[in-house]
Amino acid sequence: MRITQRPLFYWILRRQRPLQGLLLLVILASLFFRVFPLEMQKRIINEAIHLKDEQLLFIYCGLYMGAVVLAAVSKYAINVMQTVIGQKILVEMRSELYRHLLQLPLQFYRTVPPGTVISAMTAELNGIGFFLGGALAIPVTSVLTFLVFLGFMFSLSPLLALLSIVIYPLEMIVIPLLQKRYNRLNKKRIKTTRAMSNVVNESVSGLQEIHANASYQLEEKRMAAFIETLYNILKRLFIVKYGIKFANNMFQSFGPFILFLVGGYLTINGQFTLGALVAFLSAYEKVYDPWKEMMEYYQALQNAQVLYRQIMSTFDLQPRHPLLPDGREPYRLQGRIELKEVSCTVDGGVKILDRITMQIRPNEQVALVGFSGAGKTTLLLLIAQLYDADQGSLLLDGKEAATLCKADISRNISMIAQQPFIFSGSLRDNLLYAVRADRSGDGRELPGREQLFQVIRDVGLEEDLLRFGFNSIIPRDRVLPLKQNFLHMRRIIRDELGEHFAGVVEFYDADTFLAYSSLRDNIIFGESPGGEYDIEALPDNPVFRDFLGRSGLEPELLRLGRTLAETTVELLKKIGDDEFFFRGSPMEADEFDRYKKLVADLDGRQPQKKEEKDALLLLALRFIPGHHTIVTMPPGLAEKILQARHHFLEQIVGIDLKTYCRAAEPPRGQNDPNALPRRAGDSGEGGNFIAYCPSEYLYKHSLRDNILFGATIRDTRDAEGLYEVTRQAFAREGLLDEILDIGLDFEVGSKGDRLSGGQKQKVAIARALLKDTPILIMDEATSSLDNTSQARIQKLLETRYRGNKTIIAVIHRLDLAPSYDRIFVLKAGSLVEQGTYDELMAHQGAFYELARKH
Amino acid sequence: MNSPGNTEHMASPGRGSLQENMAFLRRQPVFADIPLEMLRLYAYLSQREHFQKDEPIIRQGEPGDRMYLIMTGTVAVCEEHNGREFLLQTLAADGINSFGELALLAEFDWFYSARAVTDVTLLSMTREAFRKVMEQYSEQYSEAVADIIRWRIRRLIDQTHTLLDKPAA
Repeated sequence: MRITQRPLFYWILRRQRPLQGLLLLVILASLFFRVFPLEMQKRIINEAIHLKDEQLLFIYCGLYMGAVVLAAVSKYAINVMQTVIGQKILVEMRSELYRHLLQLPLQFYRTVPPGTVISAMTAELNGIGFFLGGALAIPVTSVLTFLVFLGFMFSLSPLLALLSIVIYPLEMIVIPLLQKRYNRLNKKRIKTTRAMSNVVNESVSGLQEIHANASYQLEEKRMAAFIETLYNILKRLFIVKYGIKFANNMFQSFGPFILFLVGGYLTINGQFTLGALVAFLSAYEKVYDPWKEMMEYYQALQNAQVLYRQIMSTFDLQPRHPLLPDGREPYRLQGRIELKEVSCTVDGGVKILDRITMQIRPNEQVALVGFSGAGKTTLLLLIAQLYDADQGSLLLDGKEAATLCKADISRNISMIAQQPFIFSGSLRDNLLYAVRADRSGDGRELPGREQLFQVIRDVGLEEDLLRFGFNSIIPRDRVLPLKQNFLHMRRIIRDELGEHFAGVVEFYDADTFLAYSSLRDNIIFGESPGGEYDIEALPDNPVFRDFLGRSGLEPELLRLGRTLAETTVELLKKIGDDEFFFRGSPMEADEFDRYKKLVADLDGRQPQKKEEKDALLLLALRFIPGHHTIVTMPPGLAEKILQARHHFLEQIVGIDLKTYCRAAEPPRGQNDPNALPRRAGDSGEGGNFIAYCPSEYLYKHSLRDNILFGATIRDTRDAEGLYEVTRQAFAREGLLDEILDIGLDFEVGSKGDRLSGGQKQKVAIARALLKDTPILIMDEATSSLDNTSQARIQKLLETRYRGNKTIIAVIHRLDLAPSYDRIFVLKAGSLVEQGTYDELMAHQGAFYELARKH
Repeated sequence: MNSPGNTEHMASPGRGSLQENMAFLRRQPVFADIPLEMLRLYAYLSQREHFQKDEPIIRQGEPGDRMYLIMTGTVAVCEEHNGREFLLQTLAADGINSFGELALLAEFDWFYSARAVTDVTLLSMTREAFRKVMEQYSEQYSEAVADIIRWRIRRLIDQTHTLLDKPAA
């Protein structure tokens, strides 16, 4: 049965049966423990007290206590089991629904906004979970408990028993009436909440547009309407809910009134024992509990049903194509594509495609061209089975596409969208995404490193990856096996290419003030794995603060920090928190308000409090004179810092930098990686401290800083030669693949935010090529690439994939057209021309017109 | 290697202060009339770049993303046409001293090259920086665009005159 058409009780009756059975057993046992104390109550009064038998009293009280404790324990166990069962069923329900949801056709998501899906999959399903656990156990327990207690009451006095349940039928009429009202309101609540999440979802997605237009009020108004509606619904919902509660309470209080009146009368007249009356009253109270539980269960059931139906009806659609074929392997296609009279219509009767007939031979490379809106993308989506035609037939290797499974398509067709989606995670994850999906579970191996790098080089991602690798701070455990190689590279760069980099890199040098490193780096000139000398930890590092005080640097740094704070606040006070403007200041955008307040608070006086000093000190320590152009270095400070550096290393860390570094440095020109001396720190000198010495790998710095052993002066745009030279050096040393591999771990950010448009396209192309399918579909797949990269991809298609892939490409730039075997020209949904480039140019028709305009 | 306490390069170009950048921009006719606050942002966001004699600054065909003002030195603007390179204009700190103005307004590939004739110091401003400032002072935008176009026209006229005055080869 399709998941969305299962009734709620399908899940309850079929899932987690052993656990539910166990729960029922525990419940039955607990029933006994709940009735037993009543019997004891009666006996304590009628036998033990009445006969004044102390022995009996102790026994009965002991039994009473024992039963009460066991009843409490079993109640606890029931609650826990109920939750576990409910959550387990919910896990199954949620994952099965999610699977269903992912397979729904694209068209479905054109009409259902993401907010609805998110709301349904998260909060709404949660609401059902709690109910599920007790869905079977609670009614069974309640009914049984009710009957047991009622039976007990009848055994004491049939008359009283009858009297005390006479009000129940009344309740059974009133409560469902109220409940119906409640359900109606509840449905409205869900609908409104979904609409509201859609508004929030849309605003967040379109935040750029909202900021750009400052349309905050407009958006607030849109939201306000929903907030108001939700308020009204919730208000009424709770009024009804408490109405139900009120009715319940009222009915409950009628009981004792009748019991005391009639029972008391009977006892006075000696027709009933006092012990029996006490037991009866207890039983009455107890019998009300299961009744109340049943009432509450009824409400919870209604509630869950409403939620469940609402969720399931939203997604009640059959996925168009099954994932796996029945009883056969997915097809391996040659790549022949035929369309016969294919039409596609959207809502409102607009024909996007109108009776298209075309044939593409296996391994043919064809281009689709036409004005925007001509239906090119729709045609591609049709072939990739992402969209369904209304009429006509689409054949892949002679097989009707509509009858093929998802696995048939995904194994044979790769599609590269114009705006490819990149998932958050590493580059590696993204590159392997398609091939992992295709090969998961069928034993075929994922592409190896060589194959991966080949494709990366093919699409021109190598340089990007090297940059990522260079600029990343590599985790210690990845550095260690390569450390000697990296240090070796550093020596090569220094000895052979030092001159080449002189204008681009400021090398770390113990006796020079480094204008392109932070003041922190300049003073500490090293790092410790424990992080106690990390920049943000320094204001709270007592050893360092003490050192600053003694060296006389502290007042100067505070003054500098203050100038930095004041200048930044003054310059950017009207700007707000746009990160772009903070590139020239050590202050970060999200700290602006704090510093603004600090500057206002200080207002001419000296900083007194620790927080004030810490904040100013932090700015000064982060200050990189060469990059933070907002303030220049105060005269004389550089010399003082240089002195402080030597003092710090000698007095605090306990190393003499000259001997430390000299001892560690191999003779110049000796570039055998195995000839590296022990690092000074290994012998105990300086403990865990790692100074900026040519023989040390600096784990808190990027690979680039480490290889160059210095900080870059110009931004990467100017330093392009740097990459080429280092790349060659790395290639010579056979380290290129290692760097590429490190680059593969680059985290691309949410939706690939940290990649440029061109990089995203290259990733998407590589992702498709790695899957290596006989049919490749490209929807302006190179539109964001620069000319060189575009030409590279084109060349790749013409050489490597000529004769082994059917390629269908929508192209925007018509200068690419001549390299395709045939060109199809679309106009307003119709195929108006087809032929080779030369034929179409000679024909002087639509294509000729298009080409001429370019 | 550097001697201890070698810090005189602190004063060397590359780390020009905000004030110096601002004073320089203030002297440029095209910036003369804009509000001081805006000028300070320009000064803050612009960068000094140094090129040695004969070093290329921009290359024809590469994407243009910034505008340059010459602070010191001389720059040659050339265009490659039919495989030959033609000198269009020589720019110096005094006189017409800017190139790449249009890169502030639109994305395009450089349609000419620029090369340092002497050692030069340039002050550059990226399109991104310009746009960010314009977002803050949107009311100034149309005026700024007009200024930049007039600025470019002035250079174009100069360029045309130089070429017309050149004796025919």
